[in-house]
Amino acid sequence: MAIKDLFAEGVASGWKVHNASRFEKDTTLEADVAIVGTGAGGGTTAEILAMAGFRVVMIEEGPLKSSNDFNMDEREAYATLYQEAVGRLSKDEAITILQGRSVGGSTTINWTSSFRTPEPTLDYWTSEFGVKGTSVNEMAPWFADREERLNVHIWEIPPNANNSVLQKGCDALGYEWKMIPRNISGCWNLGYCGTGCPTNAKQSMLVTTIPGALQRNAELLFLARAHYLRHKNGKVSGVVCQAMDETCVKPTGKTITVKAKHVVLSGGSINSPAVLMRSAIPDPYNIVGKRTFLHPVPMTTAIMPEKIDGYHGAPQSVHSDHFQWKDGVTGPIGYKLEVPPLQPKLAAALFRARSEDLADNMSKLPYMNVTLALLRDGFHEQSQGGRVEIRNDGSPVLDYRMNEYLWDGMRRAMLSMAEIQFAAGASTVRPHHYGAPHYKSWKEAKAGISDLNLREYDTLIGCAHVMGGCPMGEDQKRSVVNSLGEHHQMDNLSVIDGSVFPTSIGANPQLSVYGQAARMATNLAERLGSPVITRT
Amino acid sequence: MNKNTSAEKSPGGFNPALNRRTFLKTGLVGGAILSTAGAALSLAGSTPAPKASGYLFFADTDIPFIRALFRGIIGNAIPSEEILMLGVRDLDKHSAKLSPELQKILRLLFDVATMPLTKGLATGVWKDWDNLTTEEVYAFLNRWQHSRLYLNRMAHASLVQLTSMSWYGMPESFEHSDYPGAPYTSVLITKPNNY
Ligand SMILES: Cc1cc2nc3c(=O)[nH]c(=O)nc-3n(C[C@H](O)[C@H](O)[C@H](O)COP(=O)(O)OP(=O)(O)OC[C@H]3O[C@@H](n4cnc5c(N)ncnc54)[C@H](O)[C@@H]3O)c2cc1C
Ligand code: SF4
Repeated sequence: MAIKDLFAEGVASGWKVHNASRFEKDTTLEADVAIVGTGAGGGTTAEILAMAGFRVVMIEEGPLKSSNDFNMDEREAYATLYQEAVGRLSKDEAITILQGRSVGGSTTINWTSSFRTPEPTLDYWTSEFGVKGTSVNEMAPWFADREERLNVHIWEIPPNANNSVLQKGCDALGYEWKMIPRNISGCWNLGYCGTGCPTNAKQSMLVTTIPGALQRNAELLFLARAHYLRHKNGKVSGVVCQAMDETCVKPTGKTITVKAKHVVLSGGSINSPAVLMRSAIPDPYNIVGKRTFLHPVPMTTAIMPEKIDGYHGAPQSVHSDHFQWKDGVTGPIGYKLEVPPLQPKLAAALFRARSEDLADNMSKLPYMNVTLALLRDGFHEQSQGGRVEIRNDGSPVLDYRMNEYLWDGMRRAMLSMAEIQFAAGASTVRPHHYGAPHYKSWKEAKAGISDLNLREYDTLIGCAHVMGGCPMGEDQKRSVVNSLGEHHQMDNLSVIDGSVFPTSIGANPQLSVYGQAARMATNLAERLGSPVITRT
Repeated sequence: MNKNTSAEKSPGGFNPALNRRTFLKTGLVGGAILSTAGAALSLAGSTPAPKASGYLFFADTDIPFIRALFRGIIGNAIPSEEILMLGVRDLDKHSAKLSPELQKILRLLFDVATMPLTKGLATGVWKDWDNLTTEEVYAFLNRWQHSRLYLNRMAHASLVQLTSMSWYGMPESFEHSDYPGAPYTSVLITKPNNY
């Protein structure tokens, strides 16, 4: 076998890895620290605490899949590696929400773009939300530390043709663009990051911090869903988990209790707030799960005269922040422009077309460029985000509603993208909206898009970046955890993942999660190591 | 900007844990016409229809409807009846992996679209699904896509997304999409660990 599988070797060498779906009776584990979720936040935290000498148990709802399992097969990947088998939607089903669900979390299937949190975002958190210790200068060493750990560097190989369209269009119009830093080591430039990297080049949690933690005696429990936290008098005593069946659809009926001195929630947005809600953890100001942000995404397709082959080559290598801050931090919504990978199953989900229109679009897949915009939500009073709710069966759902403020951003972004695509030489451009035609010129597109009746269901609204829901800050009335991720109401509970962001990031969020997690976990290790440190 | 129809918003109290009755009343059909039909459905629904043989999620009664969906949504990209059925199988397999809550919503939708008491009123289709011409399937999808009722548009968008993902994920569709498949398969396709 050409590529070595870290887990095949690690497990053989004695890593403590347990598949809960095979448990035949209820089980109890003990730990210094139990970590719920093994994505960007959980993976980072696990390694830092295990290296500091703590007994760590990682609890992951999804399956353990690694390079041997990753065969660039969309069908297999979406059914196993994504939340709700890629079917997750907002409550009104208007927004398609992509989130990971396997060991490594969303980092196992993300597209490797690695940006530091933009300075205006960090400043806004300090000035508006009273977050402490997260200024650009204070965060710089944490980002540098993670960039080194995950080998983040600017991608030096020429962008694939899909990304080149964005670059060329921006060049032609004098719009700013840059190459994207990626967390990779020895990347084969394949383009299948979204179905799990088959070469281990992507420096996701699966191949970096989780093996790092296992190497230091941490235990990994997978196909185990943290159902609720056991707690009394402001102290958590453990995590009660449901063993999941091997498809991760239903609980098997077996329970695993992980007793721990400290519990860290790293289930990601939507999921971490859900654990708090199911556990009835005190929430005196009724904020848990609110202010959940999505970077709502509109898309436009360009048919190019030359072949693009958007399914091959590093998925994201070019980005433009030309429209991100130009109307101010708190003005009309700003957006970052990028492109998605275009494997056929993913592409088919995005068009908002059917019958002949869909068949026609799909038959041009090799000539297609798709451009996307990440709308920076959460910086304006008209953008308060969504709210997590718990359904009757205990599962969470996000109620996120569109409004004029967001639709205005969707429309402006579609216009920017169409203009760029035509400037790059597109033959036609079509917004992902039912009934929208393939416009033949920028002039036609400008008039057409300005006039489209954008609305739920007709217009594609995508999301791969769920953020917020357990915001950090020093004001208990507005935040769930303090600036170190420690729960305001509970002594020994932290939240360390993307849910602690008070707004969206305004850039792909993984490095923002890594940086905050490194800072929070390092502080936690110090606090646990010297119990006399008092909390404010 | 007033291009957006803020006039027709989904009702604030929208509850995803719909039962068949509220679903019929608030959405697909509207009005109180169906109080008896809804009651009959709730009764019928208390014993879920058995799965079709060899299927993980679909019941026998679903299959003509699903077949019609493929004909309407995938249209002329379907090369043969045999491959169409592979699409139906794929959607069945994928549906069984969805979360229980999504499975519930899908089940409800299929029931409403196939049970004699609700099918005609909800979909405007009175013939058997298998007996529709392609134009008639298109007409049904058009009705839902352009419906005044947001639940119809929601159902339409979700069914189109699920069906097209199933179809275009299948190797049998790659000829149409001209997708060459993954590279370096001889080195990179490996036996799964299946932990
Ligand atoms: C398709 C896709 C592409 C992306 N591309 C990029 C990119 O290129 N660059 C970038 O910066 N970001 C990207 N992202 C986003 C980025 O990966 C996430 O923002 C980041 O991983 C979030 O980290 P997290 O720790 O908050 O949660 P996650 O990484 O999502 O991890 C949470 C984990 O917790 C588990 N979990 C949840 N609830 C429970 C429970 N109750 N019990 C046990 N386990 C639980 C989940 O299964 C999951 O594995 C992408 C995301 C997706 C989906
Ligand atoms: S592009 Fe690079 S990182 Fe992504 S899957 Fe291919 S080899 Fe892995």
